[in-house]
Amino acid sequence: MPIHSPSYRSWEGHRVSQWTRWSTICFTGVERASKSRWLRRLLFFALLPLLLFGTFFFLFEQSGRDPRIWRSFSGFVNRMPPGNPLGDAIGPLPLTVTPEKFDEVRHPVWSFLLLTFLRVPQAFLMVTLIGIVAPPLISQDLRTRAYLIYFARPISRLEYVAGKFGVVGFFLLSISAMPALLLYGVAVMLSPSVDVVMSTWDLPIRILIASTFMLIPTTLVALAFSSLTLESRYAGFAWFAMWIIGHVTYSALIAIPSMEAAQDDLVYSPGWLILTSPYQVLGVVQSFAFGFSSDPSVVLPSFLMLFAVSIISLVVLFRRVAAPMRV
Amino acid sequence: MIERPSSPGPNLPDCTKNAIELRSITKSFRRFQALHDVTVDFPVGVTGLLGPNGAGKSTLIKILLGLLRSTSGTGLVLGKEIWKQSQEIRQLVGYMPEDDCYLPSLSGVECVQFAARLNCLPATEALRRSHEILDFCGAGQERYRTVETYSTGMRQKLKFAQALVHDPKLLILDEPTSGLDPDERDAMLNRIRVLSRSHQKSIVICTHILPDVQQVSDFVVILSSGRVSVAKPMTELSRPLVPALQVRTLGPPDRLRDCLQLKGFDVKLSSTGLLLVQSDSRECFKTIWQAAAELEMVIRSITPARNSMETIFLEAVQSTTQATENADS
Repeated sequence: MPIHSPSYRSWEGHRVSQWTRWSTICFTGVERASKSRWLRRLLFFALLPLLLFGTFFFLFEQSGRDPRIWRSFSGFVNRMPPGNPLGDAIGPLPLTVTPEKFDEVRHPVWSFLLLTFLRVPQAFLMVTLIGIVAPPLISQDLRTRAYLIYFARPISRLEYVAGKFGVVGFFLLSISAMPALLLYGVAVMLSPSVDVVMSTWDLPIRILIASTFMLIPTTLVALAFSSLTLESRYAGFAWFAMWIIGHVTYSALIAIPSMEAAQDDLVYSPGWLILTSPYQVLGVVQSFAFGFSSDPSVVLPSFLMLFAVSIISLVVLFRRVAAPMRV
Repeated sequence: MIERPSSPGPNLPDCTKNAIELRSITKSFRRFQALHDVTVDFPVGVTGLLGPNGAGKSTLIKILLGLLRSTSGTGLVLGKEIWKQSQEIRQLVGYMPEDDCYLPSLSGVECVQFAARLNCLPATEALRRSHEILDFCGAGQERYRTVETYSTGMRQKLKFAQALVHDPKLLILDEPTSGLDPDERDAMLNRIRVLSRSHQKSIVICTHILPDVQQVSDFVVILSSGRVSVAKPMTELSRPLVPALQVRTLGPPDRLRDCLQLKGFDVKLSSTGLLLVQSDSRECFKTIWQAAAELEMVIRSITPARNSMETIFLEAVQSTTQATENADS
């Protein structure tokens, strides 16, 4: 037999489990998306808030030993307006700190910092990142007819959608849950004793839950947009428009009532108006995951909204990815 | 469900000889009926699936792969029931679509490796096998370029490699030679022949290039208006109704034609300069050689005449169209 024979040879090797097929779609998608220079820049940029929040954790842990830092911290908390989750959770703080009091406030403060990390910088990065990664995932397959590469093989619609979901999920978790868990690890290392893990063990779980609440609906919506068009730019436009229009509408609707409430020193509750903004809806469920928001009149509609959006997106996805096959 | 007895009876399909067996397959898209009661067997070997545009070839392929569900009817592909066992069928079948389909930003070898991994080949083995198949397909260093930069011919090779990488038992090739130059076309047909003859693959070629089918197919199925017009072995189809010989000469054959006509043979001159002598007796052979010697003409070849695929195709399509019109009226 020649060393290099270009003739055809049969193959009788061992095949891997069929359950790996979705992961093949996922890893190939991640590999392809990673070739985008803009995405690599964004991923690097997404790590920068870690430094800021790492500093906050450091300062908080130092406040337990340094009375001057504690005074600044307690002053900051005591000046918080009513309705702020941290102010409501730990109430007015004394000007001097005791070890017992410090241990008592550690959990809510860490929770608040982690929630803020996920809600403020990472949420904006999440919108941008999904706006870059998700739109071409299905629309490009439809445009280049690459769906035939998948569906002419033993790939089911579920595996295809799971693979594409995994691509967005990988990047999303790498800018939300992973840095948040890293931040938690940093906080543990900055604390005086590893014993703090005993009182904060639930935070990594809460991070994962909050990230999942963010991951599922946002990814499904973005993929549904992608499946609705052959042009990924339209899907990207729809994605950003949803966030911007939702936020502008919400801000416009609550502007006057919240100003009136503020004049009367009342806490304004937006009620169902929150459902107009995807950002606010996600905020409510993430706050709930970290134990801050428990008002069922706000939490329940938000959960139902996300559930409904996820189901509708899933139905759209399943119908659209099979659509080219039906003709 | 098609019953499969241990030894097939006279009216039942023999699964050991047929790669595909279809029974009364009908497919309707609302009011439009794409396939009407299609009952046909595709034997092991190379089968040419022909038909004019809109005849239902693509619909039939989608039904075979389990991508579409037939409105009624049953069938077996490699002994697996269509639709119910579509996952198993797709594991055993390699499909080369007519359309350009590729994953942008991946290189050729990555695309083939991806196809292999979707068929559950381990990652490293998938890469090794991809190189092996691309060698077989005649792809050189261009395999490392991204697929967007590929020419039509290279994309054809890539699709062929993707269909073949997991060593399927049955290959369904949709227009495998379209967009290829004559050399590449010959090479592609040769690969198809090698796979069928030396590696016992069953191959279905769906094409509009009729000479390709005549060159490589063992069996021909012609679909017209969603119905099976013809399903016969190529040897049977190629045989002319009246035995004849094709004579190719060096130079104009007019004098030889006149001479043979004088000797009492029915001779026709084709537009391509071939003489068609309607007889294949030994006497006829002898007479042709003698006549050529008398006229001092050089004969390049004498071969038994075959029906051209064009003739077979046109006759089949016309007869089905006529039958459909009669049935409608």
